Amino acid sequence: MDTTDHFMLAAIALLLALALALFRAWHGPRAIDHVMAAQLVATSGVGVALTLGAARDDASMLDAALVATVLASVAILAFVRERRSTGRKPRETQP
Amino acid sequence: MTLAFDMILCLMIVGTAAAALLMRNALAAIVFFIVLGNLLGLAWLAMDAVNVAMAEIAIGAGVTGVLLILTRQRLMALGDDLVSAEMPGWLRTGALVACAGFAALIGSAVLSVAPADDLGGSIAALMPGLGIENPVTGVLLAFRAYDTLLEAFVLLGALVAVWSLAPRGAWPQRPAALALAENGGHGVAAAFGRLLLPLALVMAAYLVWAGSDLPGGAFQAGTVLAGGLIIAAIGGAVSWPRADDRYLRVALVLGPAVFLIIGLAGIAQGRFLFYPPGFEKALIVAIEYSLALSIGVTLALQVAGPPVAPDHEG
Repeated sequence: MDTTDHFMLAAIALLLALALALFRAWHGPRAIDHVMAAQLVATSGVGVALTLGAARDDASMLDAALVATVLASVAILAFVRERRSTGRKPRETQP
Repeated sequence: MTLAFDMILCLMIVGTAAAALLMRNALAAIVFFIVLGNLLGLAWLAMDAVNVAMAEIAIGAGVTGVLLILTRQRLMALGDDLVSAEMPGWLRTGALVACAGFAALIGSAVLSVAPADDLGGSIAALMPGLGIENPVTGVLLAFRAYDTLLEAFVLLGALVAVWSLAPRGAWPQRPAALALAENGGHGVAAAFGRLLLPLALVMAAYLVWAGSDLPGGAFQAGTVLAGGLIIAAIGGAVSWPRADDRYLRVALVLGPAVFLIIGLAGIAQGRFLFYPPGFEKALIVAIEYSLALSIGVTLALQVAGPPVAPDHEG
């Protein structure tokens, strides 16, 4: 088993972790759970792109991972904008 | 090992696509659509098509996902309950048959391309004359530059279509502000927007420059720029300009105009879109930088939506 195989194994592990996030994307139950699942998928996707780039020895896949990193945060910001928070507020902490 | 990766990815793509179609909950369906975009990007990476992967991740998962999320918010603000009406059975069956037929058509078209068809080889033979090394950029900006020029104008035309939806009295005001409505968390979003916009600018500039020899290019860079602008707008770090703003108009038409002028200048040399020998790379990079700026601003304004009257903010 050479280095390439190790990286592919890591990519598969990350892909399976990503698949687990789909459970939350399906079930929720709160709206924020769906959106956080999308965030987790995007983050894992960046990981898969990085490991794939290492396995193929292709530096340009790191650029693709960078693009995914910048644009993944847009969705959650768009979601939290103009939304009454339905969850409990964090408890006030004494300074 | 690679086979196992490909199989798992294929299964997940099909499952995610089905979930995006079948989910009743609109938000969950949007989430599955975003996940589908990310997975398709990974699939393109697995096929070593990094240019396409970048475009899919940026446009398919990034900007389209934001557009859908904002559309959902606007529909809810209008009082829409986001439940689609029951469709008659013949319509469902008809849609299924039409989509299956279309899929079969695309499948047969893809399979009819012989694997030994050496299109890549014939393009590689032409590339040395251009002074750039990324064959995708070569095709987009030189061999099929006409298509790309038209695409740039289509994007501009789409923004004109969005703007023409502006209600009477709203023209030429600003689009609705995207800034966070609540005060809590506003500081985080504002700081994040101020941090990310310069980063997105640097990255867009890098992607265009890298796009000459490596995967990247104007469309990917423009989408990253649009993402940065949208984040900054949500954080309140930038506000949308009025639709008749002079600088905005210049930014919107700069890319298509530079492309068209260079193309027309080619007529003096012999034919439309002809790059004089020795200046190919300089002209291609000039077109790409101006296109990336125009694409970024156009996409951000398309997400922002049509202008609204000042008393209807939000």
